[in-house]
Amino acid sequence: MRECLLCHQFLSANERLEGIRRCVNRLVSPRHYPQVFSLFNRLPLCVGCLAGLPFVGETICHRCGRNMSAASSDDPLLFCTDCRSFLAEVDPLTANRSALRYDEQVKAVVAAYKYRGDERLAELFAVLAASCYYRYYSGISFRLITYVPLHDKRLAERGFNQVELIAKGLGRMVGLPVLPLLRRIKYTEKLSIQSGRTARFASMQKAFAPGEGASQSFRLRRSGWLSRKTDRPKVLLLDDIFTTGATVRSCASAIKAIPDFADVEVYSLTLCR
Amino acid sequence: MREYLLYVKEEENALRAYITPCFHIDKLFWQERNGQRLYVIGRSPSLALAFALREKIGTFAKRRRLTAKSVLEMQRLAASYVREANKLYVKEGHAGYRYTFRAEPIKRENLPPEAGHERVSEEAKQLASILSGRSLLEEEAEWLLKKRGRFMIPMIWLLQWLVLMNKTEWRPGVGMDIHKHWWQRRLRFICWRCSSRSHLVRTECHSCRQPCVYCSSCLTMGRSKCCTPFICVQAENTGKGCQDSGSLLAWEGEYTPAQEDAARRAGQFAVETGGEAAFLIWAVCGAGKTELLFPAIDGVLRKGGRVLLATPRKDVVLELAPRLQAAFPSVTVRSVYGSSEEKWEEGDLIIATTHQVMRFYRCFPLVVVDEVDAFPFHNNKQLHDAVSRAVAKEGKLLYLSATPPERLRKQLTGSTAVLKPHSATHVLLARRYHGHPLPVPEIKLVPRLMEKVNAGRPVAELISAAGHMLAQDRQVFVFVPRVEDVDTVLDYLQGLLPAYAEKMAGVHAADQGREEKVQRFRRRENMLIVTTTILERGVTIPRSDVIILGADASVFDEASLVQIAGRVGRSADAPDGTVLFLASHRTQALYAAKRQIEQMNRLADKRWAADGKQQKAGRKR
Repeated sequence: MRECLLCHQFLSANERLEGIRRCVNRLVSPRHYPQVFSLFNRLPLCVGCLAGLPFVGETICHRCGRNMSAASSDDPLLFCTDCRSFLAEVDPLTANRSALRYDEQVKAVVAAYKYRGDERLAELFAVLAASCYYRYYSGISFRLITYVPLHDKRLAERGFNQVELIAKGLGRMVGLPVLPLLRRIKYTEKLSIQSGRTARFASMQKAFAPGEGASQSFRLRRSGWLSRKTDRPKVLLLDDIFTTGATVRSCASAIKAIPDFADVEVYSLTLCR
Repeated sequence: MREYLLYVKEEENALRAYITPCFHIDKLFWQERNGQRLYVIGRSPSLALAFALREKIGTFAKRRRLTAKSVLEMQRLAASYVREANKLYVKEGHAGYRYTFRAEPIKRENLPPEAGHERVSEEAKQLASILSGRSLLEEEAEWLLKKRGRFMIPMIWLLQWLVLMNKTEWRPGVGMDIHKHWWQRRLRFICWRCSSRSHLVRTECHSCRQPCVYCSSCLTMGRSKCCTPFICVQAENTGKGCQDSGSLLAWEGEYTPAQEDAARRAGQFAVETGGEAAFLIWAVCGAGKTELLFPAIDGVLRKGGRVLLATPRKDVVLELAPRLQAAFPSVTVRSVYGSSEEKWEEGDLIIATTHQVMRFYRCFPLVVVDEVDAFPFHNNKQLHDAVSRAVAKEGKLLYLSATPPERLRKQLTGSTAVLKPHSATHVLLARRYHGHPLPVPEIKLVPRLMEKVNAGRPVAELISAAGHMLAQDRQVFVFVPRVEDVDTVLDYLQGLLPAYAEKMAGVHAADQGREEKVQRFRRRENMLIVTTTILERGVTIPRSDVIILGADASVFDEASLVQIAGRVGRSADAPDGTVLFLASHRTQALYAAKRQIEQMNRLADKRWAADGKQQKAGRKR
């Protein structure tokens, strides 16, 4: 007897297939439809909760993936107000895309996963990350997936790294290796408590250093004479929530600071924007 | 990463095994006592493994002496157990971490200067009084201690001291053992906090780096895991110390003779030392159950004990707390539920929701369980275990219900068919406080009832009954089986009784505006309400009637039908009413409910026939 992960009601078969069909059709192109459909089908989530998930809409900011209302200008590359003010700066992160909008309901679910430790939700988030991957990043060939690390102390306290579980799930679903390229050397306060863009950026300065996965840079090199060595290798970085982007940007700079990874392009995928 | 040591100590002619997170504290303790030899078998970060090994080694060590050979034997036993556990864990499909149990010698650990014998036992006593009577996970205990006091010595050391003094019991949050299952052996886990064996989730835990399992049934109250201790601290004798200082009860009302009898019996049961352990008060709907508890509570409080009242829902807690505080003004009353601010405060009379009861350990001489047949108590063994755990040694358990479940009926009244008025373990209160009998339901069978309603065709029995009731200016409850039926039936009735259409409303559990609608119904702005079983308990509306549409649905079992019928005729000035069960075919529950109500009425008539009309009915406030 399976229960829905979110509402704990019995999973009834009525209209579930239809609901999944509609949702997946809206999200991904027909090419990836079968894969994503089977992922959602295997997930214990009832139709009501699936329909209630606040997926990011059609118009998004090109840089940070934020959900935006319909474009007023005909600018093909839309930017949100945050990104517009920093357009001139060099961004270590190439782009970010997200699966869900960060509203009250999502906040509660993420809190249940992260703070209460309900690890069964990792499967749900991995499927959402996969749907986001196929929606936006299907054309990009990544070499590997990595994730934002937790400080050792925090890890021992919580017992698990919530992003690591999602990254492993995603890697399994899309067939990419997952490596911990970084480790956190600064024991920062929970970012959810800090307010203000500058405060967050300040606490993230120099917070990351190369981790155990950094030595496996051989994964970056694509073998075979057909590969175009002039292409910059691309790396996918995973995190749970993107508020100002301080965390992922700091991670991206730290990745680029690793000698073998100097010329990579870092794309990020966050669950919530 | 914390490691738990397993060591054995020589005692008389046997060896006993102990587990500790801080060996130096144990050395300090045994030094003072009798300075015998201790030998370490090994250490592991997984508490569940350590406990399982202690069981195994305990049986081995019962009649051995501490020799090199026996120590070697024990180490070998432990190693083979760990190997088997690892094998089973991998077989059950989980790669990753393995159990480790190292048998290395330990380095000398120096005690920090402030951890002398006196200091430790002093602080341990302080800690025991703060945590007395509670069963908490380590993180909850840490949090509570931080709020209440400052300790120089780490909490886990003080707890170990208390464990050695036998004042505290501890277990892993989730325990593990290898169980012989048919032809194979399997790993079995159990959550010691909520005693559930299912809904246990395997996880890769970075805190202990061993196979670790957490419990998802009690996850809302914190994670109970294999590597975190679950601590049960014995209760000290708190209480007001006001023995025999006269009654604490400040309640002005009076009982009917029937209530008087029931309350007296319950009170006798509660204060009697020895004797029965459980008692059932079977009081019909509207009999004034809460007031019956007063003598029992009073008796126990006067003896210096504490009382716990467990109810299913938070709103019942909120309703009862002021009434009980008013009845016992000099007693500290605490309401404990998920979002309550005073749930960690001390108190003598505690009213808690059923899940919060899991946090108490053997500290109440009297525990009252209200509405033992309602959700979530119904069929939930874990909650019953939690309630039994909260009762003090030789304490008493008092069940209160209008429709007790079969199991309790058999256990405490002796039989399910014949209704005896009282016995050593139960009392039956068959009359309402105003003395009038319960309205007996009328069962009408209408073939293809729901099809007719869904098609919009008029059902004469329903329409004429509802019309009649509304015409007499009486309010009407219409119960339907499913949430989806509420809107259908509402439209149907509005269509066929257009004169009252604006005065009709429908509610169900997920309805946002249900509070509002129920308020309007109480104020008589709505005269008819279509509802699911959420209104079956706890609602009192004078001058009302009840129609159940589709009473043959499985959601209407005997208890539910009796409770719904109990909504009618609760007030003294309108004690009669109509209860109509409309069904399309017969079910056992319908006739069983009618029979139960008739039996109750007969019993009440028989016993109090001599009294005639009740004078001075006990008022329900």
